[in-house]
Amino acid sequence: MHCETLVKIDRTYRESYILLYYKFAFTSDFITKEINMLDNEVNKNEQVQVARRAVLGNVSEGISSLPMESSSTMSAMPNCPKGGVVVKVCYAGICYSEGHIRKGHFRPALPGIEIAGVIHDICNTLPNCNIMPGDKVIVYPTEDMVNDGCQEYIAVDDADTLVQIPAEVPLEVASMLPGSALSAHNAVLKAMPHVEKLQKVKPCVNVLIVGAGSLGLWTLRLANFMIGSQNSNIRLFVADNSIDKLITAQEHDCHDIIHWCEEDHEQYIIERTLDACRGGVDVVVDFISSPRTMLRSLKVLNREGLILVGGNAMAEVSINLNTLAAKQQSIVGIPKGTVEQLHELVQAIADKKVEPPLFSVHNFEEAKDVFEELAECRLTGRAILRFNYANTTSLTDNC
Amino acid sequence: MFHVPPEIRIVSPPRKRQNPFPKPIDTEAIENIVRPFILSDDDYRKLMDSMLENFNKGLGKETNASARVKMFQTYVKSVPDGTESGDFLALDLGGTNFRVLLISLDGKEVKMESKIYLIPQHIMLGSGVQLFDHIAECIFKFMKDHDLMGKTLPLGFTFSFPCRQIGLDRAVLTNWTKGFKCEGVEGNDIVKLLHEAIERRGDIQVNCLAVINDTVGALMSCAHSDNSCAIGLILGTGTNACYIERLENVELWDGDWDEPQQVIINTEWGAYGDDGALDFVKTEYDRKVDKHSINPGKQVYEKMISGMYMGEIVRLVLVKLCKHGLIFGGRGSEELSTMGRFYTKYVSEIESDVNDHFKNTKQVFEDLMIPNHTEEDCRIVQHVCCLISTRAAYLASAGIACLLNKMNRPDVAVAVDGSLYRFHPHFHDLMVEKITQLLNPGIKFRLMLSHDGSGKGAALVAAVANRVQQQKKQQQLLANGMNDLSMDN
Repeated sequence: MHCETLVKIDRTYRESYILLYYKFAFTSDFITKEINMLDNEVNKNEQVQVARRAVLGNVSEGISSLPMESSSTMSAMPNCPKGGVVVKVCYAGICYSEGHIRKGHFRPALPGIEIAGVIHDICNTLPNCNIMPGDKVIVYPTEDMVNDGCQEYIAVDDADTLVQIPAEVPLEVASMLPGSALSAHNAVLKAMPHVEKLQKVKPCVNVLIVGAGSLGLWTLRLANFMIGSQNSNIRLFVADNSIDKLITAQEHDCHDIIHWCEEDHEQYIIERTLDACRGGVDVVVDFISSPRTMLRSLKVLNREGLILVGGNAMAEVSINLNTLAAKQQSIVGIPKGTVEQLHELVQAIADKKVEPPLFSVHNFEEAKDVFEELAECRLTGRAILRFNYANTTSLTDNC
Repeated sequence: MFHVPPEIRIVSPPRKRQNPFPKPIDTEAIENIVRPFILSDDDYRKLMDSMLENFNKGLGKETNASARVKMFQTYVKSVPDGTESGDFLALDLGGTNFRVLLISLDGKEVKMESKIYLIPQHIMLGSGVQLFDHIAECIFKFMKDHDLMGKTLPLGFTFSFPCRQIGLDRAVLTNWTKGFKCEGVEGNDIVKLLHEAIERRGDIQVNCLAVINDTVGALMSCAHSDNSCAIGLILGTGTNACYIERLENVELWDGDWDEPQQVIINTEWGAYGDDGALDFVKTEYDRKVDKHSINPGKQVYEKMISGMYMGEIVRLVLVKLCKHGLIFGGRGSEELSTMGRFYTKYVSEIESDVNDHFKNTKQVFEDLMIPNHTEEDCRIVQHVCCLISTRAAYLASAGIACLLNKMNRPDVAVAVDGSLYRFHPHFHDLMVEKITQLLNPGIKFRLMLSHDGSGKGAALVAAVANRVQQQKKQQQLLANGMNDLSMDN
């Protein structure tokens, strides 16, 4: 294995940085990983923010139409890794965080998290192969996949991270599972014991979900599923900056929506929240976890309340630990999730126990327009890009 | 989720040693830039005289047509007398939120239940029919949730847009403000539009007895607990005031002359200065804000005071200071250069910092993605916010002092509502200080926070209107009864 580290250019005078450019080349199995560390138009020389762009593989048409960086030396078809498979990507969900949007222009990022495709190639050393080329699969995201971004063909080292998709589950729905659905599932799992404990002593338990994007919507769906129909004293609330996203959330069975308008005074937002959530908030699921959302969450949280954080924040948050201790509150990170849970999720979808939230499917050439619509909230729910569509016949979205 | 593997994450470049003796602030340059915001006592007195002229112009029969400050009559003659009781519905439309309230009155006791319904952008800019259909739907949802189906409750409507009232229950919208632009509403009676939308639904009945402005709501709500309340003031996204005027001064009065011989006047004082009366205190930043607003040349007084523009004025000053290299090392950010991005709430937050940690100020700088900031920058920005909010407070004080002097009542409570007044750390104190200074001797006043005037106030006006309506019905029955008696004889 040889490793080339190229130039580190630090242009402090211009508004952009090109930070680092790594290139690994393995002599035996040739995998080119290109990690383009990006610039950001914000000149922050104290804290570097890394926004990863997608490195899109050999997609023949339309690379120039994408506002994405494409590295000059693209990986063509990756060789099948030893003991692994190659997956041909059919659908990729657009995952983004508010912080990227709020910079005024949308920085598209397709980290390789929400990906669904078909098996393209299988290493012949794989024992008792119950996977065949052409099988529909999703991949449990590993660190490498996340960094590589979405490519047309993905080499998966460990076949155990594959989850086969049954015929009754559309592949575009399956693409959302390894990302937002898995995180939402873990948030709900972490919250349930606490909610059940409070249910026994309180007449009403209020759960506030901060962020009405795909993560928030999946949390609503999964929470409703896990709570079941008999527990009517658990109330789900959703808060977001965008009214359009909130109206979408309203259609996913929450008790009420609360507009956290960034222009309003913090005290006003807190009053409005307490007004809507009578009795205060017992559990907060905050996928945004910015300094402002955390401050609001702490102000509305009851004694012994629990805040679950997703950790997508672009900035550090400072918290007064004395208050936390005095009120016996807790702040817990949302775990990443396991392959087993992914299997469970697929089964739940297949058995129609959980309906996916609002999503829309777009051809990847339209990516630029889709990103704009997402930034302006003209499009709500998860946006999924379709690749290699000449081969796929299913065209579903549920908007 | 985003994961940045530790080995690839870049650490910040080694920080250069801070200069222990930074360049001293060029105070003179900064003072020159912000000096126009400091007005003298004479300026404020001149302003008061000019405002009085404008008020009288609005009240005068001949002069009203050309007056900028319209002094609309509200047809609300009495403040609550404490005997109001019953259940009432109230509607509150003033911005992106629309509230429906159920209010139970029983003497001095008030019980309220309310729900907020959001108004999406496409309805704010759609047709008037869509807007009122949406409102009717929200009323339906509320009535269903609160088991009110089948009942017809009297309703008061707080409609916080400039209106010309033709009666207590008839108001014609003069023009949309605050981002609304529904066609087919300007020039029409909004109560009629509401009743039409409700009839279109067919599943609910409401009886809208009164339309009021949010200033009147604030006054009524406060008067319920403090009978000496005679002025209602809004200091929020916009600014406006109403007060109790003697009928003899209202030359355009066309209602009845029964007791009490007074009526609440909605000044719409935001339009003061539209004819140039404020040019002697306008700064270049005010002119810039005005030029880029959706209604240039209009609402001049309001633009110098209210929350909708205060943040923008501060932003323009900061941009100029930054351009001259006086703050942030001369480097701002894209956010700072974006119009409207400096939210007015930042002004309250920055001025709430009381010690040298400047925690709130630094948080604002982070929100605005400003790359370099020092403690001096925090101080300077706080100073700028201070000057601009002080000017706003003093300008509003001049208006209130003018009204207090005009009414010449010995003891007046002023009901105030609005986010600027409620959340700014010093606004109240600044106003009390300035009004005291500008007031004629022998007049006592106090500023009272009127919480939720739009809900409670609307219900109170509806209650008063209901009482009047019932009294009239009783009198009618009595009159009919007398007629029958005399016929029998």
